Amino acid sequence: MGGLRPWARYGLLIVAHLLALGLGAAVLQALEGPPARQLQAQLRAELATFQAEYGACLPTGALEELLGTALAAQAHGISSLGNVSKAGNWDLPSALLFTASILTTTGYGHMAPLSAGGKAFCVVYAALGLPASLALVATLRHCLLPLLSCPVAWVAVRWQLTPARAALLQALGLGLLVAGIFVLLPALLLWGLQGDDSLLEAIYFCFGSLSTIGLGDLLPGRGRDLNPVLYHLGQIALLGYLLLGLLAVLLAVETFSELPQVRALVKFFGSSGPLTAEDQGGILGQDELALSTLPPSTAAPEQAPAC
Amino acid sequence: MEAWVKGVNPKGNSTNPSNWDFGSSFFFAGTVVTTIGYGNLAPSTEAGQVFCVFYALVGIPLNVIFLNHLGTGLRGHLTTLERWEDQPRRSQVLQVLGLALFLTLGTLVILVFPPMVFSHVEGWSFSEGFYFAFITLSTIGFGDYVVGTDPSKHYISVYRSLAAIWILLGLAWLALVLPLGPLLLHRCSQLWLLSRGLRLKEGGVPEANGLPRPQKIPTSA
Repeated sequence: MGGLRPWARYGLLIVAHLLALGLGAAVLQALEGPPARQLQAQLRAELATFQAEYGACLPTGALEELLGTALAAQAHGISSLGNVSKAGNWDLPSALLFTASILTTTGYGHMAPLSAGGKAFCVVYAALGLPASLALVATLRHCLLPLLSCPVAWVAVRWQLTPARAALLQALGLGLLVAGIFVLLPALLLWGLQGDDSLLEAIYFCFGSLSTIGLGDLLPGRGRDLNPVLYHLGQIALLGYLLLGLLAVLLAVETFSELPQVRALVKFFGSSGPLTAEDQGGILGQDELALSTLPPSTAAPEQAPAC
Repeated sequence: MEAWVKGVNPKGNSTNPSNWDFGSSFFFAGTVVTTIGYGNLAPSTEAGQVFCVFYALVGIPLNVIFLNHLGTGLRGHLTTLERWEDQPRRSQVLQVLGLALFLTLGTLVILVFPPMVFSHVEGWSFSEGFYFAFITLSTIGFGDYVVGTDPSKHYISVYRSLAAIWILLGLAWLALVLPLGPLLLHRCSQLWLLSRGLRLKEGGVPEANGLPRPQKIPTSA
């Protein structure tokens, strides 16, 4: 396969990307289509019975209008269900979680700005805050990565591993450690605390948060009347989890991306020559894969001062 | 009353006739691998959630490699980094201007025209459309504004697929442009310094191949 021209290789990557998207779409359609249609039919049946029983009291279209309003509000994060005991949507811990979701680009969406000023502020805040947090992460990465390689160096000496093997061991070990501490453990905790969700759903939520996808469909504490203090504690805990977990994931991914096997794979798809120093940073750096920093050892560190 | 509660359950509330048709699923897959994750549509079956996790594990790296190489490849063609300082002044200025023009045009095409189109189709104001574009392309993706989800509108069938392609192109554009912006500023400042007859500082020049360049002979004032 090494005989392919660079453009052909890159074309292969494009095709692979589109195929992967199409494949994912087809599988999700197959998995989710029938249950969604079923739920929709159920919903329609319930609406029909409701209309049949109480339709005489309601003017025509009033129910649909009310539902439409409620659903539109739901899209903006305002729950229409009554007697919620939490103080309000935008108290301090909720607002903190919201700004964290902006800076980590997770963006759960359970809360969203409604006013034009709020939206404008969001845009400006993200435009300024994202590069700042990228710079912070780059600095932390610079400090922490040497620390992480110390135990591996010790093990490599004890067991007399080759550098390639030691690097593989470090990457795998770090990956397993991060997965265990930041995905499995919190998922177990969530599963224990919230009885009605399965462990799979808890893992799905943790993974979705740490990968910054942030679907927000399974936020803990949703739709139930919790003691406000507990609810706020939970929000602060989620905030800490997001920040720490994301940092850990970035470190693990950085370690993985320095493996020679991964670098060879990435270079295989490359269409141009050696990467320039400008390939560092950029919006892709904030994804957990810092592949845009290849090769980190030869390029000059751009904004990370020595610790 | 229980029916009422279920009716406003966020998991099953869309009255859109086809929630998971191919176009919507394609769009959802796109929002997963780009880590945008709107959340207005989410898998509700356990199998779907498990598949989502594994799909993201594979798809996100693939997407990052894809965007990274797109940015690198295009950037290599755009900016002839080698020996910029040795070229005559006119061609230096032309290059900087060309770069600035390219950046402006691209920003218009990616960040101004599509929001106008979206605002027109979805019935949003332009500022809401721009807010949507910004939140989407920064991959935050709240989900309070999502194209193609209004149940009362009838969209052409490729609308959501086109939106997904816009997202990919926009992200690739950002991957290309974000490192170029500082480079452009750097070049402008160098041009300004050169026009004042000052020397170029050693080591202050971006390199094509990572090797340090020798210091330039100062141009006379």
